[in-house]
Amino acid sequence: MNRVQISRSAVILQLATFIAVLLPHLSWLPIWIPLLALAMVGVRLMIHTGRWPFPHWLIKLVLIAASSVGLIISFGGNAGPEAMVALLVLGLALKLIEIYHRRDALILLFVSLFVLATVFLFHESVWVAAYVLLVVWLLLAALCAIHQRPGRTAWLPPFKRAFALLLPALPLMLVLFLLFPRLEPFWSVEISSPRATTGLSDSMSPGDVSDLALSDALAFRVSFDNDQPPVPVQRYWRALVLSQFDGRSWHQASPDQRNRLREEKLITETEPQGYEIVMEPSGMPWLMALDLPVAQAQGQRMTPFRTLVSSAPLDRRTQYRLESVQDYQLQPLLTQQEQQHYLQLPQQGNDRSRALARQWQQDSDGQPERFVRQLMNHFNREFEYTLSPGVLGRDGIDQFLFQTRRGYCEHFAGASVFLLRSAGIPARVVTGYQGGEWNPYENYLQLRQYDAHAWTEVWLEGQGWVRLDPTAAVAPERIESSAVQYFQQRGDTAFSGGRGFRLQADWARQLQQRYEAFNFAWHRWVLNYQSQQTDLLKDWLGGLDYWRMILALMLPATAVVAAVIGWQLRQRLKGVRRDPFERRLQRLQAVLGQQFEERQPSQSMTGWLRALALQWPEQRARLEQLARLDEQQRYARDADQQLRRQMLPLLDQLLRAARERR
Amino acid sequence: MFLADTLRTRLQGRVRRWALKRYPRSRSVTLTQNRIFILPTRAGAGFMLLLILLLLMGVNYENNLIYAITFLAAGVFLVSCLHTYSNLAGIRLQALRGNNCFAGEQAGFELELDHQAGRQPEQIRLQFEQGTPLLVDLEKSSQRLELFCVAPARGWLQPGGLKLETCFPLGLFRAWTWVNLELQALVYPRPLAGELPAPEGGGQSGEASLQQRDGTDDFTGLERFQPGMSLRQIDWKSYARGLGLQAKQFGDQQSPDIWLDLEVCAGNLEQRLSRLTYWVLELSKREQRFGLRLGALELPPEQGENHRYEALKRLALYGRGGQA
Repeated sequence: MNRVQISRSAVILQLATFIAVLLPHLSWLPIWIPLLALAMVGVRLMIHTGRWPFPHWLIKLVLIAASSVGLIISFGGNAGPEAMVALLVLGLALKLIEIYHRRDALILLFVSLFVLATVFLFHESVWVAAYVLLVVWLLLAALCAIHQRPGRTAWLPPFKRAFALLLPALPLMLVLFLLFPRLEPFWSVEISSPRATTGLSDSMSPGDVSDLALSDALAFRVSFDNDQPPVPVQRYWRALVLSQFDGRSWHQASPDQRNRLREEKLITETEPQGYEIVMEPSGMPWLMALDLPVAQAQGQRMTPFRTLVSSAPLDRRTQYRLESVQDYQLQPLLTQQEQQHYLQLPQQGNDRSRALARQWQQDSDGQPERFVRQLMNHFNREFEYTLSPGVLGRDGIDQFLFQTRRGYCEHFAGASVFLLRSAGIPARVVTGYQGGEWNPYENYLQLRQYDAHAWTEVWLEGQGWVRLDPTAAVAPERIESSAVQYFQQRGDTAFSGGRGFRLQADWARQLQQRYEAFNFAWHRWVLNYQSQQTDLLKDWLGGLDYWRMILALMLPATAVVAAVIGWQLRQRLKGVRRDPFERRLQRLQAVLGQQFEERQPSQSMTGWLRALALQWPEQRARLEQLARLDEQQRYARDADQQLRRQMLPLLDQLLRAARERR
Repeated sequence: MFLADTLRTRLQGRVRRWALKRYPRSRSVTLTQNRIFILPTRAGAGFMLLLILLLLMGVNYENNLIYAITFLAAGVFLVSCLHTYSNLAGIRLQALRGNNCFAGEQAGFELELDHQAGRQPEQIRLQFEQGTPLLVDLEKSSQRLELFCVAPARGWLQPGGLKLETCFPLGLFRAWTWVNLELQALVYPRPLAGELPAPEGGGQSGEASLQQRDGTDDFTGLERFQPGMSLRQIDWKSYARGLGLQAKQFGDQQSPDIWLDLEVCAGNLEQRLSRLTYWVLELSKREQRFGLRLGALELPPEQGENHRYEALKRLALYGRGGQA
């Protein structure tokens, strides 16, 4: 049956499906592949209109050879998903010029469906998903079209039929999606290459964080177990601890040094709060955690200074659950070695700052708390918090503290740690994010790159590591609200300049928040459903046994089958009921069949009416007329409806007569 | 694939035997779920393979959207099974009649197919076991069609089981059923040209005598033309004179009748019957009166359509038992 030729409209639908499948791949395919594909579509159209014949096998051979060479040049030995999809797309394009039989069309459509699914390896947005759904509809219509009579060319029927197929399939899909267990990958595959991303780097020099402040790209999103975010001043998202200073930049401790540090002891003073973080791909291994995480999640490592590192760089969006405490004591005792580690400074440079620190140390009688207060007061009185602090040269800290006195958070954090260490107080820089925008529609906190922040931790005798944010002393509003609001209120040109157009009006902001909430929900419930599945199913089914799963699978499937059959039955009944002629004819058969004789299955309507005419002489004329009309009607070609209209009153009269007779 | 095909063929054979045995022959049959079978086609098997590949991709890339499209395709697969089934279900077949033919030709069988309103079964394939397939779309609520079946030998031909199958709408499933319709067609022997078996009485025989007889027919008068008369009898001259259509009457009643006799022919039984058939046709065409003698069976000389049919029927059923 597969050697059947397909209809002309089916050929066009095939071409349309192919183009629709190709479109979302355009973003990454090497340009020659779409061009070749379009050329093939053109060739097929020329064949379709009869201008060109089907190509000679030699031409096909040359095309196959050329595209193989092209593939090797474009992808080399890299056999990732890109190469696979490119190969399939090329195969489809070359198959296009030989679709003629149903079998060719079937292969084309099946492979198209596969290529369509691979779109999700590259794009995962709601819009792409909606688009793919539409293309599935088109593909099904094309599949219907190749199975209809080759002479049929109407466009609508295949689409209608495909819709009727797709609609009941949607609930089935939903049920399967919810219940189907998510398996571990059978073998490891290469995920498509990471995109260029912005984010925190593993060192901090002046200007690094303020660069990030110019980006409003999403960094991560957090939803809390009790839907209650911590107050703004407590929203410190810890990513890295930088303890090594080289005179200009702050770095993480080297692996050697890290091995010598003990894991810092955490004494919690409140109940931990659970939350879930969805991190955008950063290309870096470090993870965000609310100050301070109690334990790491699966696939993560906790550093000695309580930051989290993933086992692999984050090339895709990553979701994990953590618990954090807000009141704690961290490492109440420091060893000599650790003290030294956190007092490290270059031998020379920034002499004026060192002198200042020594002077403050004397002023505070060697009490670290007083030193800290002095430091904060100093920043508060004479410093400006800005995104455009100017360029710092050698002895940057001196320059910052005594000349420019303008800086962003990394300047304040770096200078603070330098001063503290100069005064013999162990301190370190912590980078991460601070603040976040609460989305009330989906109840989550959203942090963007401009929320990037740097602060310090100072070790105090008896208290352990204490968070100290010099930015809070300079610009408390920054900590309480957000960087955007702070700079917008102050009309900082550097800030608004880098960011371009931004929605200001209230309704526009709400709209944007709703849209973002929707995106977040999409990510949480669809893209990353596996992390919700267990809890959700436990909630719904009250447990996760086999029989519960099977029951849950069977019930909706049965419901769908019943619904489809019911719908068809209804259509059938409606069809009978709708036609007044058929209805009356049936009633007449029933009534007269009871009174005289049943119509035998082998008896024609006409024959039966004639037989009745002999038994019921009073109505003989009518019965015979009806028989004649019925005969005409059955053998007529076109006058169908008109004859029926003539028969209707006759039927009514006979029915009435039959009732009176009774 | 080979194994699958063998299995499929065997299964279909078994289904055919079962269905034909279970349901008696009848004039009219409505297709219900009791008798419709449904299995994936080869394309359906390919689709299942595609589903597995999609699922593998979803699992390996841990991509929930690929899971989703896999499940959607699986849903469509199941729904298409229902569609294919309902494309066949509810169709009512009614046997109308079998059209007689000659052995070696295709016998036509007329059926009427109707279905419930509100649906349009498409691409239904009907085929008798030995017959030619026919693909139909039932666009009207009832439709007549003629199916052909090879008629290898003379006698009554019963076309055997009628297979209805459909792969519509997606070609992923094939629904099929067997019905046993009460239909039969009379198959006449295959005409075989040859010499005229000697007529009764006189020494005249063969072609020459016929020619002569034609020439000696006496013109007896004109009669009003009736539909069914030969056009050759029309007297065009009187028509030209405005007297309407008149038919010439010849006095051939007086000429001796021709007897076609099985005994006179040469060859084996079938060949003799074939030759007689040829002459029955030939003489009917020439509007000659003839009689038929098949052993003890005798059909008196007569002329006309009915006579021709009677003669052919006797020839078809000669020696085939008391079905005449």
